[in-house]
Amino acid sequence: MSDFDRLRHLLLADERDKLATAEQRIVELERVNRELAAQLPGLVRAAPAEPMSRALASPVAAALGNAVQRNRASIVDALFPVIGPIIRKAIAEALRGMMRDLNQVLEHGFSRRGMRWRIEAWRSGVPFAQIVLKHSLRYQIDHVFLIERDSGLLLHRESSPGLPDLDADAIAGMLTAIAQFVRDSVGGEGAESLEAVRIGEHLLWVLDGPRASLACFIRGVPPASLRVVLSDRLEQIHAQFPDAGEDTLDDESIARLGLSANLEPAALVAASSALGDADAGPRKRPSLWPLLLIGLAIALALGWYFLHIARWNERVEALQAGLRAHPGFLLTAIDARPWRQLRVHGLLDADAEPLQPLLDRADLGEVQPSVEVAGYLSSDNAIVLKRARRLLDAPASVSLGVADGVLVVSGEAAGEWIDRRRTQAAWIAGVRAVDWQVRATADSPKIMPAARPASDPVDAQAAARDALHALVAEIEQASLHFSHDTVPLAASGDLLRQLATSLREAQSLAAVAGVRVHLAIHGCSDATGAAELNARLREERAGWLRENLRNAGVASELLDAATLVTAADATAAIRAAMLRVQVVEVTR
Amino acid sequence: MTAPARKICMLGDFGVGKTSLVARYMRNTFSDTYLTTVGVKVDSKEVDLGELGMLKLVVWDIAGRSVLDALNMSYLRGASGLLLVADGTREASLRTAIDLLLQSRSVLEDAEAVLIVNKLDLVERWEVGPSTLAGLRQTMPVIETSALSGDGVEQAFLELAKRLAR
Repeated sequence: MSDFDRLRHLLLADERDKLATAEQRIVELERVNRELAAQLPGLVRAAPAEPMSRALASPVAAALGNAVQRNRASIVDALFPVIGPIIRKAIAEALRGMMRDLNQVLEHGFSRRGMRWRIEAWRSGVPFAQIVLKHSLRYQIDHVFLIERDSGLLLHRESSPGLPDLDADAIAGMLTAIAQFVRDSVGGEGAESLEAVRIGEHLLWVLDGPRASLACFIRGVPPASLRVVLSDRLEQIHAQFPDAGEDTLDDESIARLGLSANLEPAALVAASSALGDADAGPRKRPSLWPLLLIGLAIALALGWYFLHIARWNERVEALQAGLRAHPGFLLTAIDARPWRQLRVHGLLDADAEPLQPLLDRADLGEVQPSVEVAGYLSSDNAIVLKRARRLLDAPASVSLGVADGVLVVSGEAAGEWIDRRRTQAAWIAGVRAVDWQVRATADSPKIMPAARPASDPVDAQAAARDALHALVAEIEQASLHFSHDTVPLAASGDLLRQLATSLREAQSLAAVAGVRVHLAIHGCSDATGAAELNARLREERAGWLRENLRNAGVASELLDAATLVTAADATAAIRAAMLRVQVVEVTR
Repeated sequence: MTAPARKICMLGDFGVGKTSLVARYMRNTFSDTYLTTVGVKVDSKEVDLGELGMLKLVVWDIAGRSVLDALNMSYLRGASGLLLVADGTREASLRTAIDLLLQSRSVLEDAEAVLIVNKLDLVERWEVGPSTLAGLRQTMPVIETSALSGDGVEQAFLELAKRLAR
């Protein structure tokens, strides 16, 4: 040891010891650091979860951010199997929303086809929008290509049967080139890739994965679920893809990946259809409550309607009964629209009471009944009585009554009134016979035979004879005319009734006067036509008059005893029949 | 049994005969107009390599140019082989082919390359000398072809196919 070394040893002995200790410490720390890398995973696992998570949150987030910025492609490739399902879920939600909107729009479509689809949706429990899509979407997958993304080499191909052969390798290459060309034209490396191309009814869908793309050649309009199926297939393929560096797939790889089954067009269509059905959720029968409520509402409406109609019919029937019972009114028809309109048709005698009070009592709600009537002469007893009162203008001492068409006049009256009204009474419409029981008052200058007191039979007979002769003159003035053969003119009915009434009256007067009457019934014809035919017509017309008088209530003994006068020279040359009355004295 | 497929790209200057060579050897699926629109045309052919088996060549005929831009680079991606085409009557086209090979190495480090010197039918007008070709043959296969007569065309494609099949 030199002097210099000895001196340094003496001067720096303490520092050298400290330096040795420090070096030993450094070696120890380096050893611990080396061992820390191996121990770190275990230490992390052993550490309490919550403090460790908080401690690592910030550096891990920063590291992830740096990784995304510096190596985006690797992150995207790593996340591809995760991102796909998330995106599909989001798309499915969006599609469901779109279907709901579509549903709302189509709910207002009530075309014949729409109604048929609506029934199908109700029966199958599938949403209406999905039924619409099912019927409106028709498509076919022609080819499915699995293409290596960078090189454009065709890894696998599936085609529908019956299609012409094509150079799939060249097409896959050109498709890749065009996609790269489009991407480069649009925005370079970072741009989105070509997803779909449509020419007419042909559609090309391209789905890109990290290493391979799926190209699907479609005809028609595919459902959105097909794209979901294709994405799913592409993810499955990537999950089992051979190691990088293998550009093409050998037969073993194809079998292992199940490409033939997974990419076969019919299988894809079936999977798409199944996915569409699955999205519709579990099929359950629609609740019957709405149907029951609708049925109940319809039943209530029908019940209310029928009750309403029944009430209307009941009131109309009551009105009808009232109208039928109304004297002097003949109901012919009622036109009714329930609770809307009512029109009464009929015949109304001028002497009948007005109908309005009856109609007002009908209680037909808002309906104001209208009446359409024509005039007629009623034979109703009450109306005949009313008519007789109006026409005869009887004094208070005379009472009138009608029963079965027989007018009963009784009481006392002036002779002048009796003379004027007695004959008139029999002419009142609806009066079949008159029962005249009126006595002339004391100051009466002229007394009708029936009312003459029995104490003066001679005067009564004379008066009856006078009245009979006057009546006979009236009878003989009447001629009943025919239009042809034995068809009388329209107005002959009244004349016939008048004749019958007069004949009955004549018989009554004859009985009082002590005489009898003999009828000669003349049948007449004009001069035209054959004599034989005219003779027959005269006989027929005389016979027609006799039979109709019989029907009108003239006594048969009078008619049976009548002489039928049909000789051409004894009758007038007219188409008529007439009566000649002979008053015959009764020999005792 | 599916034949493995390999992507090869044709590179060369304008007018050296790339498209004629492809037309002579391949079946034409697409129109040549793609070359002027998209800048590339793809055809395929399956070749029998004897003991080496079958190989499907998918040929990307890239439109002729002296410099590869980004789009052309994307067309080269995934290629296993390069057919560099030069025109024997234009020595400059040979330099362009070599230059394109060097540019392609940025995306295709290990691609097999075969140099085709075309227009053998005009050999009397060639500017490319035999010594130059001899020098090039030391680094890569060089095949003289005539797209017009078909001489050497199949040999060129087969040479590259064999190298890819090995």
